[in-house]
Amino acid sequence: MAALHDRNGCALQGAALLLEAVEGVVPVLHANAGCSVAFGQDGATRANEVASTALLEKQVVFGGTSRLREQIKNTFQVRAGAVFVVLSGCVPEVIGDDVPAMVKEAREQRFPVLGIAVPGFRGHAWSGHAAAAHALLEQLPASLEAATQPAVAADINLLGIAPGLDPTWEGDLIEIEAVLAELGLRANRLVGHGQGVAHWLAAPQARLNLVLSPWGAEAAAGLHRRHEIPCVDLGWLPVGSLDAGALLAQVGRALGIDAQAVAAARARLDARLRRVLRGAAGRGLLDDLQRRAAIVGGSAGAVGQSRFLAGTLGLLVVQVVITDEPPPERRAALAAAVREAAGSTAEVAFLSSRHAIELRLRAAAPELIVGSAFEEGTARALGAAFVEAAAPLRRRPVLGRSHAGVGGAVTLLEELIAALREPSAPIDAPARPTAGARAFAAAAASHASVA
Amino acid sequence: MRHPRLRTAPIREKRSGAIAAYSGSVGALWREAEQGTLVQRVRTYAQDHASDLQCALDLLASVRGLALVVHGPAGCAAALHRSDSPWAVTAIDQRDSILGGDGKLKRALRELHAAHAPQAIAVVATPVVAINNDDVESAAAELRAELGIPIVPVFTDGIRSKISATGYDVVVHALLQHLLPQRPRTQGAHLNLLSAGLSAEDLLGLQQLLAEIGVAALVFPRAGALADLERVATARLSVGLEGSDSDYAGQALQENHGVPFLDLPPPVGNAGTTRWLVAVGSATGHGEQAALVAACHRQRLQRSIEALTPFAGARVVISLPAAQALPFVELLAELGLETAALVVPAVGASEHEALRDLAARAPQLPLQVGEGQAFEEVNLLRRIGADLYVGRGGGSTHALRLGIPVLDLEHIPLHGYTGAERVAAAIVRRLSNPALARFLGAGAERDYTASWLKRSTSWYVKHEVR
Repeated sequence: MAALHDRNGCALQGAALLLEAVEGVVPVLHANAGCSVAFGQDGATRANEVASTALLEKQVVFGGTSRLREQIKNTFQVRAGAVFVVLSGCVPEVIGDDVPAMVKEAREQRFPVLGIAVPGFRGHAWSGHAAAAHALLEQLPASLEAATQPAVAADINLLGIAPGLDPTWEGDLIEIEAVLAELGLRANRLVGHGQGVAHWLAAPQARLNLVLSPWGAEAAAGLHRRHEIPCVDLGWLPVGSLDAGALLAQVGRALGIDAQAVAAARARLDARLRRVLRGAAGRGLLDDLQRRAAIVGGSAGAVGQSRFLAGTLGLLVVQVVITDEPPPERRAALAAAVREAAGSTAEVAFLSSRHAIELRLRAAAPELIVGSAFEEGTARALGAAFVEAAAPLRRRPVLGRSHAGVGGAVTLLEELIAALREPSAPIDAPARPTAGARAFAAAAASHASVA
Repeated sequence: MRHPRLRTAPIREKRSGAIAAYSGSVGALWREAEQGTLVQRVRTYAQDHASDLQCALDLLASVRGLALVVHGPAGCAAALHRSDSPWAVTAIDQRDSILGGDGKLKRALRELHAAHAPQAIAVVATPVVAINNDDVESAAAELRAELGIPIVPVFTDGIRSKISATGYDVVVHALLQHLLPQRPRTQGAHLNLLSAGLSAEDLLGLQQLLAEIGVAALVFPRAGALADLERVATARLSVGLEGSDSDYAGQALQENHGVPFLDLPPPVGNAGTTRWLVAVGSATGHGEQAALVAACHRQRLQRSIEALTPFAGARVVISLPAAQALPFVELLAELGLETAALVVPAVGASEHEALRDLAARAPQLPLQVGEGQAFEEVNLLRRIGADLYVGRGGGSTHALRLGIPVLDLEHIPLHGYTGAERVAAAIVRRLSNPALARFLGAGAERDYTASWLKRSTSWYVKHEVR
């Protein structure tokens, strides 16, 4: 569907952002120039030095495989890395380049290469992340000539948090790691600082997969199929001690951990957050939090944040807009997770177009919006306070902060308190919707699938 | 139009014999140019860089009153995520990539029009659409009639040209063809400042400078307004600010709208700004005022030069578009600093004169031609060393990683007397405390192999086989 101000990018971009977040993995784009430029700068560790065949008209006419062969060979000479992953984009898919044959040929020459087809017209960046994570787990062992022994021992693979798409991905994974450590469990974060090829090779030895968004389900299913690893499929990211504790309970059940130990760990998480909140309440910081709130973002963040805001802080969550277009069969569970904490009157919509979201927010008239830079203008127009917590970001860059677990929940609360202190009168006078906009609103409403 | 019957602008390689790959010295490249044409080369290892599509989107998003529909897969519009212009993407899928996506294009145009009521909408084509030969023109014509506003097809394709700035020409071609009907007009007293890539602040500074000599100036196409386009065609004169990146507009306005084109070396550095101001002054009958204003500003850089005295002779690597990089050498000399190497995305005919002058003064100066090829820059920077790296817009971490402080001109104006002063002040700060670069430079090189770093910088630059 055409989208006014699309925010979800394309498959190649999501895949490239994932690969760049794994140490020792070198993505090699097989695409025209420009495919990786200017996307996913939110919290991504971009070096802007991505190898690419930068296809030209000549290769479109005569085929791009020989250019790919040359680029693979030379990337191996220039870039330091353990594994080279060819990501093919729209152009080679349209012209029918036989990329698997090139990858096979390189592998026969003992280059550690694997290939993933991620043409942008086949899906958005989240789906590209999912496809690349799955393909990396499936193909990595075979692409490495000598079976590298994984030097990593981990109990739980963390799947579904997407580098560059979830803006606080790295901090969030570290927070979830800390939550699991309360039970003495070792997390395999797979992406970010210190996470490399060895961690992906170690994934099949884990005892459990933890799925933190719809975009980790494919990788978890593959690990289950091949290695019979069981799965806790939460589908969203726990924010605050209640949900972090609920996660520990699910993980504890799956791994047969003593219920008393789980209860003790949950109590420690609750105590930590309670101490912070009591302190804040004592300073009068929580007196005026109970706003009518709308949360806009990807499945993981938007569901987790609305559950924390409604279920722990007592905000009145009236509208949640999930923007990453999760598969239809997963939507009911996401909506149910929101309503479990926010009550049955909370509206949950699945929309990605900025304009359709704006119309929905105007109808909900919240006093606080937690969303992306695309929602800031709407927040101003409505006189609502605004917290930026979804991509794309503009106000406050992310370098390491988290919005997950207990530490991330405290950060989110700090941002919320700061936002509520700002004068929230409309700065830009809102343009009155035109007749056309009203007609479009009706059309958009009919397109939106509301769970 | 300059080539009014052509559907779109020719690529830079054809229009100005521009090249996008070279690694060697200024003198050696000039010897090639002297013999007629620069030799087209390719890289057998390349890193991703902007294509004409990203350049076109960046420029179009700066035009006020214009909305944008990107006709292609959703990722092709990624460069607009930080744009304030109204935009949409048709987000074509696999089926559309085979059967055509004109239905989605029409719908996106209607939705964008309904939501934002723009004065005009540009339809920006992408590689998939170009390869499939989607009929953008017919959809545009239909919606033009239906919505009653100009719908401007912009034929970017991501694959014709190695040079991203071709996208600037494609935009200019489309805007002039569709928004500036050719008919006789009465000439105004104002002039046009032509630029594709300068910042709004840079352009505003030059407008203010011209106001000092009593000349009013419009900007086109960068940061221009659709409402001003009629007046762009009635200007008494167009002045190019960016060599190859502004001469397509200048020539088109001259040949098709009768606006004389003055293509001057850009106003970079004190002496360069004075030459520019005096030339514009004489062309507009404000020569005396220009000389007076120039005299007032002449001493302005003195304080900056004094502040830089402790750093005299510091070696600076310049990584900017050729039109700015070449005169920047003169600005550095004015400030008592030395140019250690030049990195430019492309070099074409407009730069020959400046290249000749530089080759006469510094034939051995290392020169890299190529956009976004940081692997070559890392190789070169390790070889030659430098005290400062001057670039524009992100992507300079490779210099910081080597311990070299970076001056990013994205938010600092470069042109005019003010620009020279601002750049000098920023250089003083970078050189006064290079702690950040020192800290980052102490880390190990992890991205490139030792064997590449030992090789010649030009290893992967090869003659193009035709």
